[in-house]
Amino acid sequence: MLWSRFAITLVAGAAVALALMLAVIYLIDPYDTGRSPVFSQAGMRALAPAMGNASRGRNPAFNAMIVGNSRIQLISPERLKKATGLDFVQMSVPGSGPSEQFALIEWFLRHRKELAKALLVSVDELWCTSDPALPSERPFPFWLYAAGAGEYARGLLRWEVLEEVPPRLAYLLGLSAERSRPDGYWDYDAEYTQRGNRMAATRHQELEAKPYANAPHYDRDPHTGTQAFPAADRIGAVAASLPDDTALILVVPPLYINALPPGGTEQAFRLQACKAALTGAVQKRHARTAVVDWRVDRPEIRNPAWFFDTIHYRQAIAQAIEAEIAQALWKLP
Amino acid sequence: MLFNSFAFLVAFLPVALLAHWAVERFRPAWRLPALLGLSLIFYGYWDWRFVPLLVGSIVVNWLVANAFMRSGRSVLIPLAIAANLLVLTVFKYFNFFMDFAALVPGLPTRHLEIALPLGISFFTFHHIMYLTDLKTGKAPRYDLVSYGLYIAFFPQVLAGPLVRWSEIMHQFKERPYQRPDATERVARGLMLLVCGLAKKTLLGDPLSEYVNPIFEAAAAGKAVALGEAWQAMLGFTFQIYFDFSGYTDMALGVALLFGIVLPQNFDAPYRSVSLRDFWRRWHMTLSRFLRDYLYIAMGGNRKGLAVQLAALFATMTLGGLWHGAGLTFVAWGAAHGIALGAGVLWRRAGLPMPRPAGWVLTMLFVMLTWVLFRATSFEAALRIYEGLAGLGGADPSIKWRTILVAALVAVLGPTAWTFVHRLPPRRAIAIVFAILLVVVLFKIGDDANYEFIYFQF
Repeated sequence: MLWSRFAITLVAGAAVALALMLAVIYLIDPYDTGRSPVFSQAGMRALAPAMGNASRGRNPAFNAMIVGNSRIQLISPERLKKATGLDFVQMSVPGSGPSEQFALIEWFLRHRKELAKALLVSVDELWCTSDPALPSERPFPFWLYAAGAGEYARGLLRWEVLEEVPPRLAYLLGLSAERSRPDGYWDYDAEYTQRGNRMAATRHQELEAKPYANAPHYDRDPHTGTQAFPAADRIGAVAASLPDDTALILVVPPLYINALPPGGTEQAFRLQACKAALTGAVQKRHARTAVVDWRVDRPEIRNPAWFFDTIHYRQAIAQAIEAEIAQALWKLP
Repeated sequence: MLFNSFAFLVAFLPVALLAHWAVERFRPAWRLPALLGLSLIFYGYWDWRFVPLLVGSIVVNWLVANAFMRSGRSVLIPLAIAANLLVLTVFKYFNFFMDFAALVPGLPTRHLEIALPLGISFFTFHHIMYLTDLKTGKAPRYDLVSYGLYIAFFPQVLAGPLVRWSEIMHQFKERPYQRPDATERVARGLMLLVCGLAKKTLLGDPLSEYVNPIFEAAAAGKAVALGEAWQAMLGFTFQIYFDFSGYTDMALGVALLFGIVLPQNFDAPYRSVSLRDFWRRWHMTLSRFLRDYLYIAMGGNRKGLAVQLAALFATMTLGGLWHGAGLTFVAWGAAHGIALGAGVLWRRAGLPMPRPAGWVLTMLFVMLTWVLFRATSFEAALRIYEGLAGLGGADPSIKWRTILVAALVAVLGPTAWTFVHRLPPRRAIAIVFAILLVVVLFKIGDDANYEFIYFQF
């Protein structure tokens, strides 16, 4: 063999092998995105929510979604169904921010053949960023939720996708039936409790810390009118695009009392301004909108037994939030 | 841009090769300007703001070289070398020296918040090699484009190898694709590139996941258990080898695609049976630079034992400082200088050293000093050393699989250069490399973006 042929074989062989592998992966559809013209078995094995939500988000069994990060994870689709009659899917992704959550909202809405009845969006301080790029703190597979086939196909070119091919094939061929919960619910309360009290001392110390003990107080917002909340514009655009009958509920998740900025601090003014911006952005563009605000001083957030840490609450609070969500939905026009 | 990125592998490299082939075929006179242009695009892709620095550095040094050739004023050369070192100092060592100055009572701490231009250590040394040889009459004058390409040739501009002008300038004048072995060079270059990518992505990068969390914990002052400490030390020993030698394989492979043979940088260093042997096999182009332009200039072994030992110590300490503006690097270099000196005394005394014992001692020393090299502070290094001795906890758990594979390849395997130059042009071999390339591309596709360790130097 001549060296020229050797070089051509190497390059052309790699190109052909790469194209073939991508084509096969595309057809196998390892994350059940519904893009494969060949295979259509729904459902996924237990995966990180960022990957598994592609399958959940297009499941026609659901007509309502919950999106956010770990601070909304404990909201139960089952209990909400009992209270509201709606079929919720939990699509929260730990560590995610508004950029990731907008991608998930768009994915969920794009895959509804029938009317989406409700969107439940958790808005925390990550939604209060002034950076218009809404930067992500952790890697997120935006390619998986991309509208374009090219971006998705490029995204398939990664090792973690290759690793997902064998289990997906096993499922498609009937060799493995392992599936994750379709509604995406994960009760971290139960799991944390099982781990015992080893973490309790650390958690207790964290809860007792008072980060705002020495924060200066102001009579009025030192940054009045100068703060920008670009996530508010984005959620406003989502609100405007929703069908009239779809309910949009913003949930502001609670903080343990010591982590809640006390009134008069710069952080408290900023929180108020952010909440006002988000609320205003959705309410003026979509009639069926409600805000369930738990980031206020209320008795429940003063009970350390109901928190794992300053931002993660336990079942007692989750169920109280669910009750208010149901109430808010009933009150909508 | 990184060699291990899609931007390079599927965009820049094919376009650059096509452009290079076209000019080489139809407009040979444009070949060097085209290569220089491509090199500046490659360099500027990372941060275009540093392109003027690179271009200015080329132009100024070239003007000085011309002025020296015209006037014969030898003072120009040391002035130019001093200016090059000053620029390097400002970017790389200003804060380091300011921290020392701040130890003097009354002097304030001043820091410059400036990014380190990529490759500045490497292209500064290229200037120094050329200017020094110009002064001694060994190097001729070159036109601006050729000199610019010598400094900025993209396969080597970011992290070497350090190339002597005499190794590459004559190659620039050739018609590389008219050589009888042109296609063989291209084919072997492709294989070398794939080997380098595989070493980096399949061994070096996974090892970083074994290593980084432990050094981070040590830097945070946490105790490091026995198994973790050995995992960190062994892991880094092979991580840095596969990272840097993988990069060098890629650089040599890419250069071969353009018809240029760059010098070797590694020769199975973890098979060394003495520290002197190690430095003849590890980062060989830096070692010979330090030998020829520092050690020998300080007297080398021509002025007695005391001078030789002092020159060795000073050379290695400065070599340590070259790697990074930190006292841990200085200590790493000094430790190697002392150990090399001890080796000189051992040999002078005529004491024997069986090869297996030499290998064990060399590896132990190299691995222990890599801890200093990797740690971000002496305290962090101390936590690792304590862990190695079992003082940070007796847990012996260690993730050993990738370390074992890496160790076997590094110690027993041939160098990538030797390996690909032994292979015949068989279809099956081409297909194996094609599959390996595809595997590597899937690894590169993951979100984790692993830079090369030596880019920081």
